[in-house]
Amino acid sequence: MKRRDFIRLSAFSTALLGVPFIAGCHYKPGNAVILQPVFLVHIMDKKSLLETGQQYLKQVPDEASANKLEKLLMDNSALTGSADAESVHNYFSKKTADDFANKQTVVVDGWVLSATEARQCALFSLAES
Amino acid sequence: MHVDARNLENNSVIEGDICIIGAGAAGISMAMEWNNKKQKIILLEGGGFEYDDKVQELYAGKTTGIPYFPLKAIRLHYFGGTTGHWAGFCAPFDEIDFKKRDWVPHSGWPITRKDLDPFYERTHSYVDLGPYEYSADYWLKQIPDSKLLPLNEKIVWNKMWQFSPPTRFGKKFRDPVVQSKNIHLYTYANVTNIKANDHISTIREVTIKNYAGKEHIVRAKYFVLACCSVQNARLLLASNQQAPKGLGNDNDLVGRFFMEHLEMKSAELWLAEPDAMKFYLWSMTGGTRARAELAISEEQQTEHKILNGTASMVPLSQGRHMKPFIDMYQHVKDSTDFKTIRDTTKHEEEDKSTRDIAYMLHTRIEQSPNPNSRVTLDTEKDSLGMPRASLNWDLTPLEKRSMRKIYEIIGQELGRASKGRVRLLDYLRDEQDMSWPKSTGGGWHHMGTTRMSDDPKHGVVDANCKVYGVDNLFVAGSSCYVTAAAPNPTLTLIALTLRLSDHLKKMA
Repeated sequence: MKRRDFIRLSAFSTALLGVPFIAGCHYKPGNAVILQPVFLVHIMDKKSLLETGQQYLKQVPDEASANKLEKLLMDNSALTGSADAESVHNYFSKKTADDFANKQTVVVDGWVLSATEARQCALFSLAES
Repeated sequence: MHVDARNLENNSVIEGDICIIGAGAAGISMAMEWNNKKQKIILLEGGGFEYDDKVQELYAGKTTGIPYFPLKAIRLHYFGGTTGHWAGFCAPFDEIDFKKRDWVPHSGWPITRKDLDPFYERTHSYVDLGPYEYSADYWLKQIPDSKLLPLNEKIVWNKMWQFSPPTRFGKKFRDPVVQSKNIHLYTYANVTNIKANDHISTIREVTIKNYAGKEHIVRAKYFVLACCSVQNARLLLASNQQAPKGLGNDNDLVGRFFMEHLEMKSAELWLAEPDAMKFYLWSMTGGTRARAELAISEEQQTEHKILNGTASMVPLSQGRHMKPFIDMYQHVKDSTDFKTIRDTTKHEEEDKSTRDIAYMLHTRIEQSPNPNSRVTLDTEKDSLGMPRASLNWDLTPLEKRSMRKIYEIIGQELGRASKGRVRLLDYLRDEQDMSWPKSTGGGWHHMGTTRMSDDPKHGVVDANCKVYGVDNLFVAGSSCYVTAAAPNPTLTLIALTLRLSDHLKKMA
């Protein structure tokens, strides 16, 4: 990956919401920000996020369902489909940090990731497919 | 004083109180500890003061098992020894390194880290280091504008290295040794045989030879082998006219447990925000260079049952282009000048887009003591008639599992600190894959082969480095190591040598 390919969070958000594939894909998340691993969007480009997600789905085929992943990610949160991007961002930021603190991590394609961000990549790859 | 043994009358007999065999870091340190004492110290060096290819050729041998560097190249055969090309990395071993660990077979030294502490401090003056300070807090104050990664030190801690200039013992100690009244240095004095009394309980003399065709005898009250792991084992095994299995080898341990450090690129670190990582790169303090490496706590090693190892950092673009050490040697035919190897790998940073954002993490990890990793004698003999060494380098699955786990732990901690993410390199990604990639290589660190133990059934030397069964034969240096620890061996081998020297002073 080259740094010039990094997509900053704000740009990514904008790009995501504006990208045509969202309109055409089978899966429509309740809140599009769920597809943005908070930290990874700073260091991964879109291709890397997709590859990571696809690899996770191979490793954990039981979770290869958009609805299941969304349920695992939202995990009794109070967030609704109309929650603002910042609230969702903060929720996933904390969830990711908690994962690391509780050693809820997984190695995907060599990346040592929190379970949350791995699932977000997986969901993103399903949304893209 | 200095004598070139090529110029002595053939069949000379040399006598002294202590005969030190080998004038590298261990041998010279030992000799200097006796400088200006009343005892006569014989210091034998197989080479001269400069590189001599005919002498260096005596170190050639075979390697089998995991591909290893050519034996001719791994140690330097002249006064000063391998300090002639070492890089100066210095750090003490950790407490855990000396402990019996039930997940590390054959671990457990007969001494502790505390036993070595006073000698570590004395070692600093030999290798021109700063104060005997290895806490991150101390060096944080010395290195301007530096900061630590915000990690939980009970999981991942900052292990400090100091860097010797590097001190070349051949240059620093030549005059003091040559001008000494009681140290008698003999160059071109290769020991080819050790002869004991009839009961093989005391060493009477050693035979020295050189390519000028001269052969002499050296007699002393005490003998100290200080030729490093491969050559110490080779000499003991080759001295087999009286003891067919070799001296000190009644329990078939001489040569076994050869250990290296695995030194390999292992993972990438990607940061959320740019950070020059000054504390983790080579930093000048105005005096001694120092840097931190990421180390795994004793608690984590115990919980996960892994070996001790550290991760150092280089900017990613440099790291990606660094050749594996095992390949670096192939590029240079002769490692007489290690600077040549370093110079052939210099390159400019090619991709500035990852500057301060991404780093290559480079492992240095101990090898699990393995009796099948060993030095034996080859059938081929060198030009002085001594059987050459044959090294079989062998690894176990514990090394690979440990490397993978180290980066999982570091990745977890960096993630918890919201600092960055770690990505394992290809060869570490599959948990089930215990094979070793072609890039597998050591750090040119040679340890074990005459390991210490309280029990002669498990060691060649006792806690005072005396060879079991022989009253007056000792071994100095890293061949006595029981485990390899994470740090480079030089600081510890000199510390262990100084400890041995103090022990001999009580006896002499």
